[in-house]
Amino acid sequence: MTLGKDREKNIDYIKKKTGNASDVTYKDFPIDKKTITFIYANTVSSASDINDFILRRMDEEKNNLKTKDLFSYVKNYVPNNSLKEITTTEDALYYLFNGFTLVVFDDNNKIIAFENKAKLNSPIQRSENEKSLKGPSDSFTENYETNVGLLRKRIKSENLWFNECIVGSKSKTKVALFYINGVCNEKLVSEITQKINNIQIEYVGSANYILDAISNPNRAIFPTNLTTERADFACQMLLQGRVVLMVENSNQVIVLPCMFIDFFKSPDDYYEKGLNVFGTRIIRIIAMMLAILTPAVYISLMAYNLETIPSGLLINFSIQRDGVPFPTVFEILVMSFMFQILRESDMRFPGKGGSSISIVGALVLGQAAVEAGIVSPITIIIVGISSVASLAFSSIELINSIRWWQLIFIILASLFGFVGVMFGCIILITLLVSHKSCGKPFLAPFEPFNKRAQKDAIILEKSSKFHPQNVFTKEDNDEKNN
Amino acid sequence: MKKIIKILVMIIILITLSGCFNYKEINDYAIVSGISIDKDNEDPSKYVVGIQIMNAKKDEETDTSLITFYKASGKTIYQALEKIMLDSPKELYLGHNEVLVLSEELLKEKDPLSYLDYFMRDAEIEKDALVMVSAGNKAYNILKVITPLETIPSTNLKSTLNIADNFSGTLTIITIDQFISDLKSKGAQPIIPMIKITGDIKKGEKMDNITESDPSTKLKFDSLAYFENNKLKGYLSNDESTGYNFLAKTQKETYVNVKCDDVNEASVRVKSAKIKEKISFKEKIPYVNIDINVNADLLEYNCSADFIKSDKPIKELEKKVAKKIKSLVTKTTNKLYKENTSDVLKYGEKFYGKKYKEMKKLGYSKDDIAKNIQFNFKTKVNIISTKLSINGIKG
Repeated sequence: MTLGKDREKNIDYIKKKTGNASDVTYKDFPIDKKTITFIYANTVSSASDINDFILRRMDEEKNNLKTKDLFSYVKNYVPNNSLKEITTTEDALYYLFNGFTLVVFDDNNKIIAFENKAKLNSPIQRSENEKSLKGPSDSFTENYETNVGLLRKRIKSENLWFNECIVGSKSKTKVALFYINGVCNEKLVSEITQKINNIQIEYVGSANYILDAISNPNRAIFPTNLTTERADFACQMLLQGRVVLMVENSNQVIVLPCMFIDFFKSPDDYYEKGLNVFGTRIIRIIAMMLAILTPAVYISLMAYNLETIPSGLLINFSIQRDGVPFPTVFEILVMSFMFQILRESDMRFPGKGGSSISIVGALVLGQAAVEAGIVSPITIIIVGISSVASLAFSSIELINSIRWWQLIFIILASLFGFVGVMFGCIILITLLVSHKSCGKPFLAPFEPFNKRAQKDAIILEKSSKFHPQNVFTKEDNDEKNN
Repeated sequence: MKKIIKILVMIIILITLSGCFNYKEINDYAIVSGISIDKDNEDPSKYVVGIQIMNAKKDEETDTSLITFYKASGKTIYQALEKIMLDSPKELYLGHNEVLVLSEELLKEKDPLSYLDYFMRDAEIEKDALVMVSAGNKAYNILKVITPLETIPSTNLKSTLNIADNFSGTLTIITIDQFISDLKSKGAQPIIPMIKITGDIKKGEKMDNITESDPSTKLKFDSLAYFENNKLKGYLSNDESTGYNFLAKTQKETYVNVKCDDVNEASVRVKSAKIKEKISFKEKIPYVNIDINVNADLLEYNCSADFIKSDKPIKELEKKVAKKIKSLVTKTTNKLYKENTSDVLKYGEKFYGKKYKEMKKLGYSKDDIAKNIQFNFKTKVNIISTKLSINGIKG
């Protein structure tokens, strides 16, 4: 709705729309016969900025203004770095709650808005979820501008481009899509922009809302996108031709497209020796396999294929299990479940109670359960191995999906033994192969094989560290194949 | 609809391929570690089968497992096992069986092929179990003796045999499937180790046996038993056993003692032996020429000599060792091919395989060629190391 010429009417309209909110201040400023009104929301704007730069200026120049055109003076001479001319009521309301001061004039259908945002942010802090050993430790904050600054600070090239959209019918959250012009595939950018523009939601709580809204409807059990709070990692990903989605009020950014192998990479990889990174990545891959397969393999060995266990070990197993009344599967399930509860309570418990939970958990679950004869010691070892191995990843989404796969494999193993485990592996690989992240195959660069992209897959070559390349442009032939 | 069909197909494949009915917890099994077969003296058509169970009970003090012994008789091995199962509270699990002890009596009287079928037929049974013959004692007594070092007697037997096979050269190991295939092939005959109990059997059954520093009852491997016409014929002496291992190429390491002067002895450890065989007919007689090339270490030299000054003492020693090895293998072939006609070393088969035409022309059959074979041996010894000393201990 466009604004009318009547000042009083416009003000009344804003009052009505905001429900006469108590944090919106209407300050009339009479000059000669005319009156201008300043409207601002106290809670999101900086009082000192309004006082120092707008109100004082107007007060000083009050007498000179009698003869001048008020609108052009305010527009041209009141000091402010960000000035907007508003013609519609929707915009007026948007800017009002974005920390702008609206100036309403008599007999004018335009409103001028000055930016006076209050700093409602936490300062730049160390990254907590993705710990840094050697690299920079600053992480994204909840402030959008700071976050953009953190990226710009690292990539000073003019080719760091971004498209901005506004998502959320109520929250009006800014979502920026970063990419490097000339490196990133333009088709990809336009596709993702399209997707974001099509999002129909009311509220954007954090970056994960956007993730959920744009990810494929197929029930992808493994996450097909990476979130990070490390600015240096985001830059590395940008240089590899990926798109980074930044969401206002969220301290995490989304990296798209994301391959399966990316979950085995850590930001710190780029600050270490290539050979050591190779070792670490291999360990992570083995950890993933251990996490998924250990309980299942143990069950199929114990329940179906006793002959494969060396006899010395078999006697130990058999003696340890002596007196345990439950089947192996039940033991494993109970212990895994208890471990998940322990992890959840450890994560959610406020403050410093976490360590006491771990002690109780370790004692109750480990020692006491074995001594009471509820579970056998070997079960504790097996569940321990798989649980610890599943925690080797920083992505909580991945850890949770590993949990599902553990369960699926346990059930398959308990019903069908090794045949079931093999079957599960086939299903898992089939699913992974058929996954896609933004149209790119999830198992790239291994399937389809891309020789160029191997430089930063399991191995990390210096050249791909110093001269990152877009590994996706070559995969356009992959899309043809599909 | 398509999805449901897909899932159904998956489930059907899984169930038919795996069969979830054989899900079994480990503590429902009694794990058998040794089986013995004896003749039943009361009823000659029956066999006495003894089994040793290794996870019977837990020793609370040391947390190790104790063994239990069961025995029953039956017309077939399986019948006897079924009878045992009635006594035992758990199902017998034969997948980890480590030894099969056969009694001397039974082997001398009956062809083992008339009662060992179950061991090849059952899918679950371990075919890698070692076969041995118990001499002078009932076979099941072997399984009763509690042994030091390894708490489970069968494991003890198995590792003793493995060590002896690797280092002493006087014993050899044979598994159930090899044993049976040797028995089945015409002409070829198996060789199996012989085991004895020294001391009182009654004492050996008690746990006290192993608390002594020198247990009064022990199990001891003595020599190798050889067969003729699938029946146990006799035993090889230690020398003949060593010779057999050279010829059968199962030799891994062994030692040879020779005199280095008139009184004192020297020991040489054979590290590797290369054996080349050539079979041919000379004047209608089948000849086997065997070259034995041995690399050895000098391990003990109780005479006086300086190996740096001249290589004469070493050369002499090498010659003596070569002669000794030659005498060992000659003894073996004399025993196996001259005194008996069992083709233990399978030379008859080799003639049949490689010289079939000439063999037929000369009128030999596969069975009778073995006793006509003549042997020629050439032995060469290379002492490659004298270890830490460069002279004899006497200087």
